[in-house]
Amino acid sequence: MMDQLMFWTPLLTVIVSALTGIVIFVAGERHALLRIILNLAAAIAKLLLVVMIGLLVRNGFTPEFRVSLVPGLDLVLRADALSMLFASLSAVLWLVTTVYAIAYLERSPNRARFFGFFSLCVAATMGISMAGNLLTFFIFYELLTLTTWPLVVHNGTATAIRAGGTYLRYTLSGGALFLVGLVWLYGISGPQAFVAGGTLADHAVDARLSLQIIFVLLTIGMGVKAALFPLHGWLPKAMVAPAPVSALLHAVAVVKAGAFGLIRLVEDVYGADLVADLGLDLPLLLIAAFTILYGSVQALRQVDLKKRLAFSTVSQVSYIILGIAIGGPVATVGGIVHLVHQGLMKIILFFCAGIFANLLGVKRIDQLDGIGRRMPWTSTSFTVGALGMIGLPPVAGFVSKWYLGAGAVEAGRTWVVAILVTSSVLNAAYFLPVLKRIWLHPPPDQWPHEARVSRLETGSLVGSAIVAAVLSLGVGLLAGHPLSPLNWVDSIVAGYFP
Amino acid sequence: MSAVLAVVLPLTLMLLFPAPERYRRLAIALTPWSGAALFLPLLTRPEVAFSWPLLGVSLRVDEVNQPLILLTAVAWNLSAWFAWNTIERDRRWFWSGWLGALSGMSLLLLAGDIASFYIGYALLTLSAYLLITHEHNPQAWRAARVYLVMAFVGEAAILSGILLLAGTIGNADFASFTGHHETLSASPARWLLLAGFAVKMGIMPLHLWLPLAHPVAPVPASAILSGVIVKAGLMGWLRFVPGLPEDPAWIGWTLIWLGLFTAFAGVVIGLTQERIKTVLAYSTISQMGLILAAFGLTILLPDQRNALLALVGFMALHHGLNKAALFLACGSSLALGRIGTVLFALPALSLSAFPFTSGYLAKNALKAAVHHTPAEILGVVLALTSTATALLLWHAWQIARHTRTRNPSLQPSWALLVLSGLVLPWIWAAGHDLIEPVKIYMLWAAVWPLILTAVIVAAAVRLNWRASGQIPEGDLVVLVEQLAGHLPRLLAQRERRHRPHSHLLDRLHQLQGFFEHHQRSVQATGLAALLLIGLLWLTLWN
Amino acid sequence: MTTEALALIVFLPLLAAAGAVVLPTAWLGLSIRVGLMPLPLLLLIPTLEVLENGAYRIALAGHSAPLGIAWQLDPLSLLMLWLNVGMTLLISLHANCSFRPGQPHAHRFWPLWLLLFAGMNALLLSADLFNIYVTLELVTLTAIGLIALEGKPPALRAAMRYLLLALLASLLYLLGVGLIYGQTGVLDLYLLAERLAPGWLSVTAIALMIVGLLIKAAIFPLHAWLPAAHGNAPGPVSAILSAMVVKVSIYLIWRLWFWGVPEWDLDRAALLLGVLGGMAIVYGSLAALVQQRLKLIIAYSTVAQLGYLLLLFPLASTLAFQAASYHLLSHGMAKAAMFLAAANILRSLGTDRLRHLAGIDQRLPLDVFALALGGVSIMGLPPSGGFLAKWLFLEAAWSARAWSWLILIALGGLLAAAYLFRVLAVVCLHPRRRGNHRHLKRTPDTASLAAMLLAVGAIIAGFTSAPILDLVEAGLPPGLPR
Repeated sequence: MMDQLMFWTPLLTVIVSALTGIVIFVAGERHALLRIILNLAAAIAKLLLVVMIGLLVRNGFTPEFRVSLVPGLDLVLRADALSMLFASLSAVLWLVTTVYAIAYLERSPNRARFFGFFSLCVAATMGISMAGNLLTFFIFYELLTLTTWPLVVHNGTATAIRAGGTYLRYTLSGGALFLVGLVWLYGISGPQAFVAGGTLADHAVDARLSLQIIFVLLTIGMGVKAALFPLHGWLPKAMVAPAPVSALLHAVAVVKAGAFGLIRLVEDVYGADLVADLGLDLPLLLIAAFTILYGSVQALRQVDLKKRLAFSTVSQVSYIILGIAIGGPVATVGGIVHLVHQGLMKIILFFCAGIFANLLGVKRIDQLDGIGRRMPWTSTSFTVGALGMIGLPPVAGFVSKWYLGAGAVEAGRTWVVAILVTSSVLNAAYFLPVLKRIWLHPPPDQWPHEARVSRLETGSLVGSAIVAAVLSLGVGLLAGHPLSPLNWVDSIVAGYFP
Repeated sequence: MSAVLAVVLPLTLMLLFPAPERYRRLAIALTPWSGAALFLPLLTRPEVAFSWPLLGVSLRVDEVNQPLILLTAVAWNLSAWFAWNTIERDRRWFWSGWLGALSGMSLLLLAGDIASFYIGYALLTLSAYLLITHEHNPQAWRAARVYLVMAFVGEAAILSGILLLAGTIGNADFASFTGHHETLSASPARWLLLAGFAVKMGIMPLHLWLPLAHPVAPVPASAILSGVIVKAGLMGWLRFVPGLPEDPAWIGWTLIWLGLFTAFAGVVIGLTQERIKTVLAYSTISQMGLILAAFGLTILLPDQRNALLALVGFMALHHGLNKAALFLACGSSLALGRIGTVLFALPALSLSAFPFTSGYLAKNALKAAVHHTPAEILGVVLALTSTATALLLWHAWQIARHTRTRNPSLQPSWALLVLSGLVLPWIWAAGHDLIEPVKIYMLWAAVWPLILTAVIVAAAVRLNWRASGQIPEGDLVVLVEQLAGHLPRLLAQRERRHRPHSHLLDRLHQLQGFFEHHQRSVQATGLAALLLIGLLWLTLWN
Repeated sequence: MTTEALALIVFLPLLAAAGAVVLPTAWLGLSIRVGLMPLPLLLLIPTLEVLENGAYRIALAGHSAPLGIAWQLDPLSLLMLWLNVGMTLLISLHANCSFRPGQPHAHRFWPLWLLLFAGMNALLLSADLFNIYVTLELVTLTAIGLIALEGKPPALRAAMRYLLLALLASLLYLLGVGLIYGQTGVLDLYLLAERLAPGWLSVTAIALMIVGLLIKAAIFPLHAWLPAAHGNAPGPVSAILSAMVVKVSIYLIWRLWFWGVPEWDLDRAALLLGVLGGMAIVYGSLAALVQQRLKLIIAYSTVAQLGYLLLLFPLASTLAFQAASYHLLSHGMAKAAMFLAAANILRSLGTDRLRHLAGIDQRLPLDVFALALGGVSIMGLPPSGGFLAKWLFLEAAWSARAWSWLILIALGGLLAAAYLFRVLAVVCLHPRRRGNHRHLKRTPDTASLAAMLLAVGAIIAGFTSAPILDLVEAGLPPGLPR
């Protein structure tokens, strides 16, 4: 019984969402109520499932599902501590985003398609988080590309289609390189199960150059989704998607998949020591550092709120990569925990941007004047997110920054502190004027496009944003609590640096 | 618990502000008195630590923060009272900033570890922005912009420093700092922190924001900005960059001369100003320079460190109360005749170190400290600072006399603050062994600078001296602003030329004809087949 | 028992075809059922035999080689047979909607269809070169008949061109067969290896036969007939042509190459064929990228995808063999699904021009979904049969340290994505005017279901590869490196 449980539960997390998606497709456009119930039920079921697996993992079990694709090539879904981190993040945010999306897309066309792919997208994310080897990761990684594309082009405008094209050009090319690297690696050392500390150390001597090239290939493959410079071009363009999609793309699913993959690559495939030994940590660090600054500077130049947030994502996601590239336990904790923190904070911002756009037609930053008086709760949530992004305590962003900075010093890369601080200042430079407009400027006589919506709808939209804000304040304020993501990550990293 | 209350109460009240009116009533009723919670920890002297919030939080009251907590509790509450009676428009705006700043200030004062201090500091910095912008006129926005830029420059330096420290000693408790001498003295963190906190204190040349921001805020806000919030920087120094036994003398000397330069330069620039609050702001800069000099002495004279540190705290208390009182004077109108004059004169004299005022006590103690040390020469310079301060305050008085305020009223809070400025430092000094027995030469040492002031003033009046050429408010900031004026142009997004997307596909479409043609021609295929046979033959044939 | 079963596999459809012609229309449905339904069951018997005892050989008419006509069933041809049977059955499900007995072209369609089926089965079983020629001719001619079936002018023109080129191809092939017979006196494919020595005549013969087959396989630059033929044929016909018929020719080249002349020094020729394959991939993809009609895009996609099957020659390893076979299988299912879906769309919309497809997913969700799923497999994105095939190809290329092939394969997937997502993007575009598709004809559910089944099959092929790969490995030509 226990064995069966251990075997099937990881697959179940994927199946729950995938099945939801398929049922939604089959049910079609008409059954709105069924769709809502199904969405919420699946989201809650998934959350419970993840909590259950989380408890199992906490108690020292590793549930594992394994099926052979080609002899010698297994699809493995395994729940370890790191995958549970990502899985719980997506499960929680999926629930929140579902509530938000149901309200957001009320009365818009093609909802069945949207929610169908939305669920499939989450299934892919679950697969990514539970992937037990690099091949499985790749499979779900590509699946994610496929399932997010319809979401990006959901609006069906020419711009959306073009953005979708750009998205595909980047991600599929990245995927192709990823695949080449994967095959190469497979040729050298067989299937790459994720093992803390990596499994490639034996090949460091005889296949040094190969390993270096493979690392570059895989990094490019994952860097596309993680929006590492210069592979970030798709992200701002993908902003044409509806707000819940942007939120999901930016906060959880896509960019995080890339970042999560890089964590796996560095920590679980190569191992931090080998990466350093191959001389790859510094280039990765430099790219991440540059991306951080570049994203911030670009964000400063944007006048469109969502675009600004997009570039902010480019910058923020690289913190994660920065953390693992620095090496050393403290910075690694900072990087990995930022996976959660950034997700929570960014989702608030996108929720709020969506609310502004949907209810008042406000899309540009200069239209935000005085919106704080009109929508105090949304604006408060936005403020929490923005302050967190700047890295101001007590929002979660501060904790990540603290660990990253401290870790950089500990690893002897003091200059990274300068990057972090410059980035914080730049973040402040592009978020504080927004906050100033929101709270301190007088509101206009008329909003660009005021929508008439029901209280329930507004409530769900704003409620989701508030929940996300409370969560990101919570994980920041309670960072020291034994159940906080920080401590969870601490125990993961303890495995990397025995 | 009392410490937690002091931090959390104002914050909770502030967060209640967006709530609907009916939930806010209690919050509003409590608002002006929320600072009173800060008296409790002074009495109970708590020491608490929590492991779970953020990176662990510890709060405590000890020798170092005691005078500043006292200052904050008194000045903030009295100013709040003042504000409650005088602030009429945009109350929500004002009180949000006020409560946020109070919460931040309380936290940074009570904080026992690095992270908590930084949290309080950041909260304070942001909330003060609301106080500065409260008037929302163009001047206020400009001042606020400069404030924010400078604050973030400072914040950046502080964050760098803190992260550098965190990398080596983690989220250390301040009490354990003495155990990390070597790390601290070797690390660049120290300098970053010094510079970062100096921004808040208004030490030249990092003072740019101060003469702009303090005057534009509403009167009670100016009072706490100048009287209390600048001391947050001092608190940072006392906590983060304590003097270390192995510090070379030049560090001390550098700080001392920098402080004295600030003290005099502040006066010189202040004398050219024409608005009273600006003059007072420059006076603050000058006074903070003095405190910096005293702080420098703690490094220069390690054997007197503890006494000097106590003295620095005392100076902060004395200046904070008196300067806040002076600022409140600006709002209470001096048209109140004799009472107004007295209430203005008392803190002014105290700041000028008139004999038997708290300023006199401070100066005396300082002079006594440098007596018979390598820094003996400072005795004279310190005396001259009294002259300078007196001159500047005379100038302020001159302006104040000619300024008309609209609704002259005597706010009891103002009078109380003046009174506490007189009394509290004395009580404090008595409790901390800072009172020297009165000696005649010391009295003389205190009096001659003031006589000098009188002479200069007399000469100025007789000869009709006027400051030639006015230095704009904020002095250097004008230059910086001009330079920064070019920045937006560099950053602004250039209009992209509209370019047709996807050249490649267009090219391919031109090829379409080719594809179709090829598709039709059977002969071509036949030829190709023949060619292939030939090729295949050649490759097969060895 | 096995012999009888195999004979039935060929002759039952043949009989049914005859029945379809001769019997009255009312009996047509019965003939179809008799010709198709029992086949999977019948095929089980030889399957068990082959799995147990390896290759199974029948000497027809009592004579044994080298004189007689022989059939041979080895694991590879078994796989092909299964594929053919399965695919034909599923596609027939669809054909049964568009050519339901009683409808205009049904009485001409079904005999040809059954004949094609029988011809394919016979072709796959044949072990001798002349027999292969005959069956190949049968297959080609019925295919041409099927293309021209509805009598539309573009289809007729395409069929004509196909006919001309197919004749040329047959001629070349027959010439080659003649030369070989003159040289060795045998026609049995499996006896060539020991009898056919490399000489200028035999080289010529092989070259002629291969080029003949290449024309039938529509390999670039000999593909000229394919896009028009597949693009204008009725849906089920396009499906079976793209999925099976063209590939059989390549399968025959494999046979000739690895079983017929395994001892020859083939490296340079293999390179040539590989290069042809590469060019096919690039050219076909680029051409697909600029087409304005859905079915033409799919047809050009076939041109491109066939190129992969030629990569087997330069890579020449067990892995490559598995890869190519798997590609054949998954591409077959995916491509059939896409053609069927396209046929449904064409049928209900009246056109398959891309710009009319905007927003079609709301009206024909199942077909669009089938199209997309098939596309996923064609692009080689996981999880799908196409992905596994691509993976195996890449692995084979890596094992051979053949970097250029490796890059080509990776690039090919991207090109496929480019032209397929172009279609999907149009589908997702909102129609400018609402009610654009108001006059849609409903497609029968079975038609969509058939497309969907095939598409799902292509995806599922991404999970259960082991039995098939084992089968391929069991049927490998001797002396192939790992």
